[in-house]
Amino acid sequence: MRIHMKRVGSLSGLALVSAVLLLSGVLFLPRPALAGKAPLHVAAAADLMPVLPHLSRAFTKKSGIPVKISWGSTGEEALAIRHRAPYDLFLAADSVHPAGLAKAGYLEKKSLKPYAKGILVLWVSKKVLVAGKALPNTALLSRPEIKKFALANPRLAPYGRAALSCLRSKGLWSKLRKKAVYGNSLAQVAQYLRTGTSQAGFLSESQAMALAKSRVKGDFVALSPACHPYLTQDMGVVSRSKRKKEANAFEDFLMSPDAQGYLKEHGYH
Amino acid sequence: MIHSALSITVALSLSTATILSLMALPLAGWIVFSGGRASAVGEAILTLTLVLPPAVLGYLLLVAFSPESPPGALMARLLGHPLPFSFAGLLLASLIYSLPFAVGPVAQSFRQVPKGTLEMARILGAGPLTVFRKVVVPLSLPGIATGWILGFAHTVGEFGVVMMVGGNIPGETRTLSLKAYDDLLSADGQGGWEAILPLLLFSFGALLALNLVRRREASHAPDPTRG
Repeated sequence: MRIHMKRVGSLSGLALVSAVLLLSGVLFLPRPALAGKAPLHVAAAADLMPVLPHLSRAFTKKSGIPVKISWGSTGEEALAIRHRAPYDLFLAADSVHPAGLAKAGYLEKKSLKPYAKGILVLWVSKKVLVAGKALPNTALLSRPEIKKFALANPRLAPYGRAALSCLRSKGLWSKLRKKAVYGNSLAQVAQYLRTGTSQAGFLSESQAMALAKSRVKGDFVALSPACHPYLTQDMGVVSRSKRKKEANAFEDFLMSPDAQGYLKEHGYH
Repeated sequence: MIHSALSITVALSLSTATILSLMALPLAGWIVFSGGRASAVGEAILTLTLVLPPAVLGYLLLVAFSPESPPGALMARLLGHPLPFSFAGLLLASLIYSLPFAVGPVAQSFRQVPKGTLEMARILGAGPLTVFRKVVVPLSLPGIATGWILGFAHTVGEFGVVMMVGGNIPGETRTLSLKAYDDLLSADGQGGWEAILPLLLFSFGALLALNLVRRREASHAPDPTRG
């Protein structure tokens, strides 16, 4: 009996030791990708999800500087920067938030640059288009086949605000507001369309092109500049960043003809 | 009809806690007294939502509730509207999400009913249902109360699931926790106190009630030496 107990004790001891070893390995071993240089930390608006990974890989290849990206809505990330999130560069979906942050000293004023002009689009699922015998347009939103349409939270996301002002300018908002559901960012709007829980939604053209490439059935129409101006998207270097040189290099890369050409091919004006 | 975030949260949490407390009796009875291997699997499934990240659970529910999935289409026909982005969808999601919190304490109480008491009742001629109704449930009232309070508190605080399934619609599915998040993040907000204060109040009230139940239980506990 006692021998048996002892064996159990030593077994659990062994388990404990190996667990500690495993944990310390996970925590302290240098990760190969990060072994050389600490990565540049970019906070990016969700409309960039389909394009920024490709661009950041191209930048890393050219400069040797690894990049890691945090996604969110522009409003969420602006708040994080105000609360000293350890970002180096902020890629917003508007010019209002970066300007506000720069004025309060959180972003370097001279680093503010418009890097893209975003296009607001309306995505409508194929079923609705077939039933309405029409190409996508905002008038379709009143159809009974559309139970819910999605937009990004207008208080947090510039594309949501743009969608709201477009519907208001057409006098449709008061009639349609009961059908509206809100995602925290464009990423969640795209998810509502992918799962088929919303039959229409307001996206950036970049997100809509990515959605069309996946197997989601539907079509989209550009609402910029007819219903809402192009969204001027500004970027800026975070004042507290210790990697301003690298952040500036990434800004320069995004302004290069190659990167600008790639953006124009993937849903930016 | 437009409701305040406060009344939505209260309605959702009250109905979730009450429905779960009723469901907890047969569920916990099955887990504790059936003794089969199936009940171990059942308990694991019931506890699954305890460890699953809420956003993942919300996504799975969204897929299941979607009018394009067969169960979602059936529910949409029964209700007259699709489940996602409605109060009914929110309620169903909350029932699933808060289930382990309501069932766990009840099962725990059932386990603590002395074996001798159960045998005595059986010898005196009571059938299993009568034993359950007249012996097990009355002896487990503190556990049932604890389950109700935890179910309520957990529903008040849920965020990831209601964000996914509810769609954050003001006056319909925007709960206090979503409102607090919005208010805190938006630059135009006057801070989130309008939502935070009732959230703090609910949490404190729930914990206070929990402690009161525990104290009562401790002072009324049967003497273990005479079990």
